[in-house]
Amino acid sequence: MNTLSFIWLIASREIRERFRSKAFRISTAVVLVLIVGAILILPMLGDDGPSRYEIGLVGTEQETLADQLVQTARETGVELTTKVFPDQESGKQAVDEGEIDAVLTDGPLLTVKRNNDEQLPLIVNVAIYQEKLFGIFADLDPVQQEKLALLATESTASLEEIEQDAESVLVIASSSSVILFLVIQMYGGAVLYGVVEEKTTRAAEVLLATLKPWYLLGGKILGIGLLGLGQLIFFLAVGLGTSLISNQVELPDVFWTTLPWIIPWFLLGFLFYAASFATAGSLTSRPEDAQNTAVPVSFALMGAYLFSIFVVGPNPDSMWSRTLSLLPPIAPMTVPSRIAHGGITPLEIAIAFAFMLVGIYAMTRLAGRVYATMLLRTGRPVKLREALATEKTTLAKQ
Amino acid sequence: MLQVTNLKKKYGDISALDGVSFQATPGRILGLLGPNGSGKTTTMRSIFGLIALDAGKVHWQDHAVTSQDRLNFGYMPEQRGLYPKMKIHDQLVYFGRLHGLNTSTARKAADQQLNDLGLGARGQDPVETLSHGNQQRVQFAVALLHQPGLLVLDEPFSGLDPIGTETLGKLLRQQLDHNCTIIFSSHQLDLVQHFCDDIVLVHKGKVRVSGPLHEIRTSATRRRLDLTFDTPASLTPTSGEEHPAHHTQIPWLPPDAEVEVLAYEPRNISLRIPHDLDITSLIQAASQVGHIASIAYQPPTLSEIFLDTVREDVNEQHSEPHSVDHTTKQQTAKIARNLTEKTPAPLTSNTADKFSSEPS
Repeated sequence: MNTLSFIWLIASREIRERFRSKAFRISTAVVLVLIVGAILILPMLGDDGPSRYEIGLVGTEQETLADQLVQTARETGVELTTKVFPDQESGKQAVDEGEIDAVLTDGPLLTVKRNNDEQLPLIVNVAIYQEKLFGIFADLDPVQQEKLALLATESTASLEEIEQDAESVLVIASSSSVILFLVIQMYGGAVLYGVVEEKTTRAAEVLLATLKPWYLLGGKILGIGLLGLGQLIFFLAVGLGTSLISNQVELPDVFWTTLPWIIPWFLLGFLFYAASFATAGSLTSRPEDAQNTAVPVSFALMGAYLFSIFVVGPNPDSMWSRTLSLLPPIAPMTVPSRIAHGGITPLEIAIAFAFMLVGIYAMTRLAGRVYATMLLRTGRPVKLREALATEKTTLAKQ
Repeated sequence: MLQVTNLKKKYGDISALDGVSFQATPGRILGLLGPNGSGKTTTMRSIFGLIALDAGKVHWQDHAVTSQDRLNFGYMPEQRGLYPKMKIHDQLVYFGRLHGLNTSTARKAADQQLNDLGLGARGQDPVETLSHGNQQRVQFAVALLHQPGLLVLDEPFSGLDPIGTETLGKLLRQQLDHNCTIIFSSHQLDLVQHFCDDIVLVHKGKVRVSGPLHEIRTSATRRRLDLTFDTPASLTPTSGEEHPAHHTQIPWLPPDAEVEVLAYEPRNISLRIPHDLDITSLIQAASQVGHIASIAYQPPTLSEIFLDTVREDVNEQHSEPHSVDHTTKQQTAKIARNLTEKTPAPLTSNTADKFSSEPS
């Protein structure tokens, strides 16, 4: 057997045993339910008022608004019908009796059935203003009419786009940070406890009697990483599939430009943090101490996440965002976020990538050193400095 | 053949290994014996490169041990190491694969081992559901699944009942069929001595006695004599004391002989006597004071040989007469307790077989 076969053997055990574990199955099922539920149910929960109105009109002026009201309502996705009433009393009575939703009388005054309905007054207001604008518009000469029509179309379209894009960008940028934080935290934690488990159960000694430490560490990180990657892709695919099939959520362009970057940045972030968690796990042999020795790593990960949400999110182009977002502990969460915001250059991505590779190399060297010398050490947790001062075993030198 | 030469290792001021050398031969079982903290585990770990030696060499088949060689070694560490939640059969296959077996060979070997150990029906259970003794058996199976050329077992008998001890000893013997070199360590010298072909007695990081067990025992200058009398009265010494301080108080013993009284009870007496003392005359003299019901005359046990060695060391270390006696007694008593932990006598192999399938 060659080196890769050994590493793959260890990695495949990690995948198989974790995949079989109840914890994995339950957590996967819970996340799946949350994803599918969020996509299917959330849009239904948004209460924007009824999608169908019947409105009474009293008086000639109001009757001429009928077409405009129907048109404005249709533009906001609402179906509206009108009914003419001979006088104010009969109109208001119809409202009281629930026959119609509102009545528009001279003034113009709108009497509504439900006080908390903001949508219907808005539709009526917009329709009245539009009708007045069209009156002014009709008085202009044809050339001015054409210019004005063109300007109105352009400005309306771009305003809508900007509003929609700004909202989507923020959602996608935050979501990418949240997803990467959660997955790296979850699978980095698996590496931490995996290392501690082998120390606690003393399986490490049996393994090290046969294998070089870095085979063991490499296989463990590879296995857990692949499982994490598989789960991430699975969740993204289920989320995407549910959205497309249910047609509940319209996916903006920024989603498609950010999505492909999630996978490589998960891999980079996972490798960096997995090596860091492995170092922390090597310093202790008791699961109850693992949280404590991993505090610096967890803090770095949490800090990166908070930086991404609270600094890069609101101000993606600030000096702090532009510089710090490229550094290894932070980059896995900030670079995809900045890609979503659109303000990052390919050169910056390349620099962040290069820094990340250097960071991974340094952390892997550190993890390999500490792991190899500390794997047989049991008892109280050891400080990193003490671990580095410990001389290497024969195996660690290989 | 495994050759260990001049191993040295210090932890701070404490010398864990101080020039340990020995060799283990194929087809024989070597017992690395000594009290707790004598350097047995450190020696075994050094074979697998698990500790950084200050000096010394470990050679296998006349070359320094390589990582390739270690694939052909089997190791059972003192602290057992298994994945608690992994299925027993999967675990055996996994460790077999790590030693270079292909999947189908590893599976067959795992089936075979589980059946041999009486755990055939438990293959699909997680290791953590097994009893301590059965987990120990699985650990043992992990060490020999791939039919290693060198099998190293650190305290394999620790925590086992007499049945388990005999079963494990028998399995060790079976490994010799394919010319395996076996080393095991134990601090229970007398309990395991009959499993050894060769022994290395270590104390404070130094080899005190080594060689074939039979030769070591027969070349000892002392013998143990146990006599049982029919009539208690005939044993009463001249002074009337319950336990005579000196053998000269026992009338039928030659006063000039170097005899140590180990036990003195109304019917039984145990003595350590020089190997060249005329045993026939002694028994004749003893039979004058009472009718002898049974006689046992044999070379010293391993723990006796060991204690003699340790006692000499301690005596050499202390020059002041008073402190010598006190310290010597304290230290040897402590070591003696450690070496001769009360363990029931081994059962016959038939009985062991009968009970080998221990319920969990």
